[in-house]
Amino acid sequence: MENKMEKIIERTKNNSIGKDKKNKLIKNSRKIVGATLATLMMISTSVCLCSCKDAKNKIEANYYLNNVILDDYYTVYQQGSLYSNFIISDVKQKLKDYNVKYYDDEKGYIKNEISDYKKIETLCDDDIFGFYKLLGKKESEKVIEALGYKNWNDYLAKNNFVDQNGKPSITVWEYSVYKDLVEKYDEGEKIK
Amino acid sequence: MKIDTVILDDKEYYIIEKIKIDDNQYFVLISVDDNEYIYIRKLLIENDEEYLIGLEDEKEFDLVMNVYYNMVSTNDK
Repeated sequence: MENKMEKIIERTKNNSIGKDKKNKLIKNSRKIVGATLATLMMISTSVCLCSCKDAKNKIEANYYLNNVILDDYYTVYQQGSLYSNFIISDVKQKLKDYNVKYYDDEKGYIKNEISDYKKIETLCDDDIFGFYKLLGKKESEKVIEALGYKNWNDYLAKNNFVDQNGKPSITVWEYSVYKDLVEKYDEGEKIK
Repeated sequence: MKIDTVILDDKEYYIIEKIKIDDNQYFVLISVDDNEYIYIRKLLIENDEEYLIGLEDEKEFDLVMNVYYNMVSTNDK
């Protein structure tokens, strides 16, 4: 049976390709809450990842040899992307609680120092994914350093997020986190 | 916060990402009404007017998706 993601990708292709599609550019703007924007970003990212041949090749390189079924990967990625908003919300709350700014309405995302993240007394390894999704790989490396790791590779290697060649792998880590999230929230843990 | 949108055929779409490839600019759009409807459009400037047009073929679609993937996989804000 064709899965939902494949249908969305096929529709995205049909909606996008065609010389007959031509509209005058009419711009507008809308107010939107951060969580909604994050969800939209996750959806477009999921579609991109699942339809992108480069990404498929990378996923296959990382998982096919480890006997992970690709359809399972896509399902986990899609659902996990949505559930990751809960973690991002938790991280935003911690930043707020400890008065660490990460976004300025005029300047956009703010570059902090490692010491800023050290101010968050409740900071723990479980927060890393939320920071990674919220702030990006480069900025969240400072969070990793605040937690006592040397860098991304050190964190990934020490926690055994490595590919089949034994190299630290963000893709393996992301998959693992998404899988845990899907298992956790599908069991209803968040709905208390 | 505010997000830019565009109107296509009387329907509104969020501009999720703008992607530049060589001299072309592409828009990743998601329907305001149903976020499972995603569109990629290319910007065309004709007689000083801006238009959003469909992609030529699957090859161009794959190209945009590959560049978009490389953008999001580095994931730096």
